[in-house]
Amino acid sequence: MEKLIVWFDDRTGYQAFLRAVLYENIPGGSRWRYVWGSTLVFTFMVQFITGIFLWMCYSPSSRTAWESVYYIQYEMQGGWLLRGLHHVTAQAMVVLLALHFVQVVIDGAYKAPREVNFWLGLILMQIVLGLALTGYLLPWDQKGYWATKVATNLLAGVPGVGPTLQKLVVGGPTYGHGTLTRFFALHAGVLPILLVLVLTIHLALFRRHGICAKRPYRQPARTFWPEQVLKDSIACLAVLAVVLFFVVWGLFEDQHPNALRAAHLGAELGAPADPASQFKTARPEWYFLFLFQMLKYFPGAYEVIGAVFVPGLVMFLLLLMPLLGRWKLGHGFNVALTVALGIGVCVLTVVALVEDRNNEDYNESVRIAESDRLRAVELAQNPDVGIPVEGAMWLMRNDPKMAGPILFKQQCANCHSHEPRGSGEDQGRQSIASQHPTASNLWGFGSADWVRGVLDPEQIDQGRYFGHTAHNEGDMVTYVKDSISDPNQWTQAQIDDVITALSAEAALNPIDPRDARLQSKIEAGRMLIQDADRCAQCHKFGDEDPNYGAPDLTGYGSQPWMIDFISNPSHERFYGENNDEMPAFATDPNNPKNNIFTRRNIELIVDWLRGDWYESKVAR
Amino acid sequence: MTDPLPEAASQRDDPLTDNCEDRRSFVAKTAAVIAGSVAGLVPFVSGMIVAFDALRRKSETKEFIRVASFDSVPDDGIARYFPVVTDLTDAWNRYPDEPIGAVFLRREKDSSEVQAFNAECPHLGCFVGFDIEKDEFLCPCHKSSFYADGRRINPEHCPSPRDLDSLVVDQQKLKQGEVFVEFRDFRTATPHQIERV
Repeated sequence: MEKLIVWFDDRTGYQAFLRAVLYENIPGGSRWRYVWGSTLVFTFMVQFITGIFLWMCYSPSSRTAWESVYYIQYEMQGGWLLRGLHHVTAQAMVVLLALHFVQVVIDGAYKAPREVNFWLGLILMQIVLGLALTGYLLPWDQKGYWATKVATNLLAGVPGVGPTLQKLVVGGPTYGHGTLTRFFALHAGVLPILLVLVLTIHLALFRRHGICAKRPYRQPARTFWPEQVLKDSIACLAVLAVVLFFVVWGLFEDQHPNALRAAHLGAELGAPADPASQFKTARPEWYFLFLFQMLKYFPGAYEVIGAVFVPGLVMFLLLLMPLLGRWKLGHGFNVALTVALGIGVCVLTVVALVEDRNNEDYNESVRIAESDRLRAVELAQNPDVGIPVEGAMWLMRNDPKMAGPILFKQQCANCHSHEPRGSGEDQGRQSIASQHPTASNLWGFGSADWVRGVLDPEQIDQGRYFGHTAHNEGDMVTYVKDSISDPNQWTQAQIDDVITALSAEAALNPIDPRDARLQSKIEAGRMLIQDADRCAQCHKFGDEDPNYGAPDLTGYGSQPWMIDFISNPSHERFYGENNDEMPAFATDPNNPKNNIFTRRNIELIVDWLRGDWYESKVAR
Repeated sequence: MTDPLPEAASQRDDPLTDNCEDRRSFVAKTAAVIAGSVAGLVPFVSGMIVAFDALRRKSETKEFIRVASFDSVPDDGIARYFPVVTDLTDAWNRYPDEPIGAVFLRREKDSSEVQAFNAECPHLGCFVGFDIEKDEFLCPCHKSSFYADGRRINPEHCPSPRDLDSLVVDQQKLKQGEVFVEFRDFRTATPHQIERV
């Protein structure tokens, strides 16, 4: 065995190398204060390893990035742990970097002969921040997309070359595939290689100069191995423990349904990026918040000062530190500058956080963003659909629950509201109030509750129904007030039967065909509706057609009925000439461009109004 | 790791300041540098050529795009948000009917004039929102705020360097009841509109 070792050492000289590495002299012996550099190397190793494994599962394109990250986070075993480690360690790295920097400045470790190594350290800092910035985009979720849009627009503010630089980084005039392929190459290729190169020189120079030992020495000089290595290892374990704590934090919050548990573990994955959405919670990662906050204070024309010159000046001052340190007061200045920067960064960060916390709009937007991201996962997990080639964005745009409120707001909420009665639980974006309602509140349209209100003389002339419209003077309101309210003409049981029968037309809930009592009520109700002395005086139901400018009640509130109604409420099947103000949203089936809405959009609105969307059983 | 560096430093005098540097070694050195550079540069330059392809990509010229019908914009002064949907090319993919941005449309009381604004904040590109109660636009990112007609509320302190970007509405189509907007994308953070190319 010994022979073999000698042979190998003779060929490689590895023993001398190991000796050089392990038996570095540490004047004054090992100390805890020397561990920070090692923890940084450790966090970089963690990033390198977890990053490579993430790479095995990640696909950079605007139709696959979110999707592959979703797959890692929610479908692959241990995926959330791997992502969480990578995500939280990145933040630990920034914190450790700040600590390492502060210690170097306070101890004067930047002074001769260590100037060059200090500068290398600053370069490493830039590389790490670059890694953080590029990594933020890769999941292609809303916050990554919008934060990167802001960051790259800032880049365009650099005088002269800015716009060209922006185009190079973004990969063209718009954000998309090219942005992701570039950011990924930077994040996983260019920047790590640069980091390894600079770090190697940084460590070599560190060894060349020896450790900047703290005086007074507490004990005689020792070597790096084993005591300092032990301290370093323990520190790395401590860093890892803190990181792991944040990764698994969600496990201790027990209110999350199992299927979505991974949504609260490790790193967050927002809703897929949508370039046409109003995403109101675009914020950078917390350690960039001070920059974000600073931009609020620079009015328009001076933007470039806050975005480019101030950070540039600060970096320049940091570069000058070793030179300034030569003067008697220089070191004091450097320490003061570091403290001032630290305080400035902290204050700006806190102000940014407090401003957001006190902003009700922002908090509401955060809640919406949270429900959107969970919805995206719910849709992606729909076993009958899955994620199509068009990507998760397609799921979101074709989901009645997501798209319905947006379309309704654009086209319907000028006149209609969609609000639950009374103050129930917060309905988020599902509840939409019209500013100047001139038509009915469509919450629960077609349901038994809805029909009961229509037939209630106390309600039909209220805002929820015809109150805001010309129909308030019409025959229906008169009939409800005069006839339906008259017990001699309509008994309560008859009204109930009509309610049951009419709401059954909408088929909002499955009707049990074996429920004989229900079936007989429906049958009785249908007879009443078809009665030419009652509803069928005006309304068509089934085959009877009075043609009286009142809506056909056949299939009232059902999907096809509503689609046809919205397409053209003035059609003779509906209000005909009696239509009040509702526009026809799709009168020309052959030429969709002439219509206000595409057929698909109407379907989405109708399904949304009917509450007809996919809900995961597990999540409930 | 410690040993080789000082050694290299001590050896430094010999080959470089050698006085008997003859012409042949000068030629050899020059040739070595050139050969090495060429060998190293070819892959790098060919990579950069491809990387710089991004500069050749132009944004597609967008004609007037139908955004909404005239009826969708009541004359109540409220700015309404509409996505701009058209064909989009993203590198190797072409998508029909893809939202490429958004506009706000607005009509004053009793006016048939439709105002159109690009929803992008001219500051750094977040989408502004319209606050109906305050009757103003507000950017959720750095808090630029604008009057309903797109002017900055406080130009001295507003992070946005210019008013909201108003867009041209096709008057011919407007008379036919359709809102067609010339959707243009401007660079952010410039005092004047400069189109992205």
